Order: sequence, then C-alpha cells, then structure tokens
Amino acid sequence: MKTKMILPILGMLIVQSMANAADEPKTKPSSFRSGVVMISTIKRTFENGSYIYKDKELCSARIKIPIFDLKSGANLGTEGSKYMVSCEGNLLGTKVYPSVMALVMNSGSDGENLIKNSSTGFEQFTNRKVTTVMGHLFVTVTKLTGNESSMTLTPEEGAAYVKIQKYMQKSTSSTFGFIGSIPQGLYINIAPNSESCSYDESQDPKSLCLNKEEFRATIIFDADQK
Amino acid sequence: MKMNLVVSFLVALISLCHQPIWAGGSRVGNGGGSGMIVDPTGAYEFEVPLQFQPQKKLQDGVRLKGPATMIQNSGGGPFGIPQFKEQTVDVLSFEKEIPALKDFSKDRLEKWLDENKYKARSIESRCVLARSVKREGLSTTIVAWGKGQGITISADEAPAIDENIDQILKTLKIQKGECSWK
Repeated sequence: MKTKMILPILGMLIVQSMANAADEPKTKPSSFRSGVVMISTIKRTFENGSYIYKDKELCSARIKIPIFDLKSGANLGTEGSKYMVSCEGNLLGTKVYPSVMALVMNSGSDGENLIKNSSTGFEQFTNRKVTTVMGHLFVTVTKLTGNESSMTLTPEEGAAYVKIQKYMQKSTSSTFGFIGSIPQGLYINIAPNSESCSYDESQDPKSLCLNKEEFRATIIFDADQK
Repeated sequence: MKMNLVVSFLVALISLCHQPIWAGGSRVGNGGGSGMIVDPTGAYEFEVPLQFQPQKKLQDGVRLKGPATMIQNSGGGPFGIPQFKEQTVDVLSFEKEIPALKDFSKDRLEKWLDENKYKARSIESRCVLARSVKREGLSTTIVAWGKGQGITISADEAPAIDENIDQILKTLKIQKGECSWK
C-alpha cells in the first residue's frame, strides 16, 4: 500500500526535476562540430606507372566549432560568419609561411546548412610571416568580426575559438581519401604571397612557399560527432 | 555546385590579373614556337608549344605555363571541382624522375609501358620511344632514347594538351650519338 503511494510521488518528482533542468541557463554552446584541419602540399608524383597529384600532409589538427546553442536553439554562426584558420609552423626544417588562410562559413537555419553551405565561399586575407618553434605546428581557428583587432573571441564568449598545438611526427604523411566520399566540408583558400614566394625549387628544395597550385587546406567535418 | 564553379572561375580570373610577367629562365628564341628549351647538358632540346612559356626551372627540368582553361583535376580544387586555371606542363629528366626504369632495355621498357596501358605517340625518330597515358586528370608521357636517357612530360589533362605534347615531340632534337636505341 505504501509502495503504491510512493511511486506516483517519485514520478512527479522526477518530472519536476526534468522540467527544472530544462529551464536552467546554459552558458556554453552545447553542440559542436568536430573537424579536421589539413594543410597539404600538392605535387605531381610519379607513382604506380604514371603521374598523379599527391598530397603530402603538412599540418593537421582536430578542431571543434560550436554550431548552435541548446538553450536558445540559436545558431551561433550568423550569416556570412567568417572564421580564420591559420596554420603556422616549421616542420622538418621546412619553412611554412605565410600561413594564413581564411574560411567563410555561411550559416543557414541549422547546423547542417552551416556546414553544407560553407563550401561555397572563401576569401583571401593578407598573409603574414610567422615564427614558431621548429617541429611544432599550430592551427588556430578564430571567428572574425570584421575588425581584425577584435577578431579573437574566447570560448567563454561562446564563439568558435580553438587553438590546437599538435606535434607532427617526421614520418607523418598521408593522402586524402575523402573526395567523393564525404559530402560535407569546408574549403579554405590559401592566399599566395608573391613577395615572399621567390624561392627557386632547384636551389632550395626544402623551402616551400604557399602557392595556390601546390597547396590546399581543407576542413573536414564529421557529421556524426556533436 | 554551380556556385562553386562560379567562385572558382572568379578567383582564377582575379589571380590571372595579378600574375607577374615571366622574366627569366633559360630559353632562347627560335622557330615558330614560344622559344626553345635546351637541356643544360645539351642532351636534347625542344620548342616551347605555342601559347606556352617557361614558368620556372625545376630541379631536373622545366615547368611550362600555358593559357588558362577548365581543368578537371588540378590537384587544388575543392572536392574535385573543375577549376579555371593555367595549364602547366613539366618536362623532367627520365632518369631522375623514374629511377626504377633507368636500366631497362628498349624491349623491357616497351613491355612495362604496355602493362601500364601507355599508348604510342607519333614521333619522327625511330630511335625514340614515346608513349602516353592519362590518369586522374594528368597526362603522363615517357620519351626515352636509351637506358635512363629521355624525358617525362606531365601535364594537366586540358582540351588541347595532346596537340601541345605533339609539338614538343615534333620539335624534339636529341644530341648526335645520344640515342643508343636503334
């Protein structure tokens, strides 16, 4: 008899606590897109009987970009939101500069659109030289607000700001296998820097410049990871 | 997809407008083409195809730059989207590019080319073996005239690329005595 009375009360308490939980303000974005930033060289390589374009990964890092807030349901990315992704480093004695790439995320009504539409736009930004510790690579994703001096937002502000440091192994080298198989993705354009790109490949093969024809950077988002 | 094409086209157009005028290299004006490429060792020379010009000296050869066109797989397009960009043709040392084949006899190289589905190209000299294959948007041509002697030509699979390669082959001159295959 006592049990029959307690069960409905317990049920009411559980329902009440769930309702309270739903009303609690959430300060952090509760949904993230996880992605991989890859910056690679593109070279014609003679392999398996003929020339092919071969990607050699220079830099990669996993990133997370918040897509929408569970509390308000609002998309954190606004239409035309811009994110800057930079990869800086000095890898295997190879100078990697300039290394500023730009990424424009055109948001839609939901996270899916944000990702799907984002491959349609990109912008070029002024390059800058970077100095980092040899053997380290940094990938930074920064939300741009239109004013470069205030473009860096912190995670507390609910914006996409991720700085990842990844140590690259000397043997790290991989090829892209995503083309045609992963429908979602963001394309980052690498702005060429003609002033600093005056290297002579025959004289200094280790020196690399970012050249649109030879480099590409791509962010791949994994739709299943939220 | 259409938007991607438009963006690629516009960016290519803008970048073309900012291309510096090529000034330098090792060509000597001659003949009806855009100049002559002479191998530093004097082993061979050929005429630069019309509308092409030497872009830069590579470690074991030269890169020629041609007019912009739609290229299906330029290696840099996002997600395999065709790009409107300048064609490039790399002419490189056969021995340095494919060291695994440098000791092959003519018969053995022909067999290897057959196995890799290379098709014969028209070339005046009977001594010279010239074959091409197209794969993943790139055209590969192997031109050999002796063990480890020859050039490789890699080019974007652009609409007129075969004519341009033919022009290279037509004007290719090998130094006397260099051809060890009969």
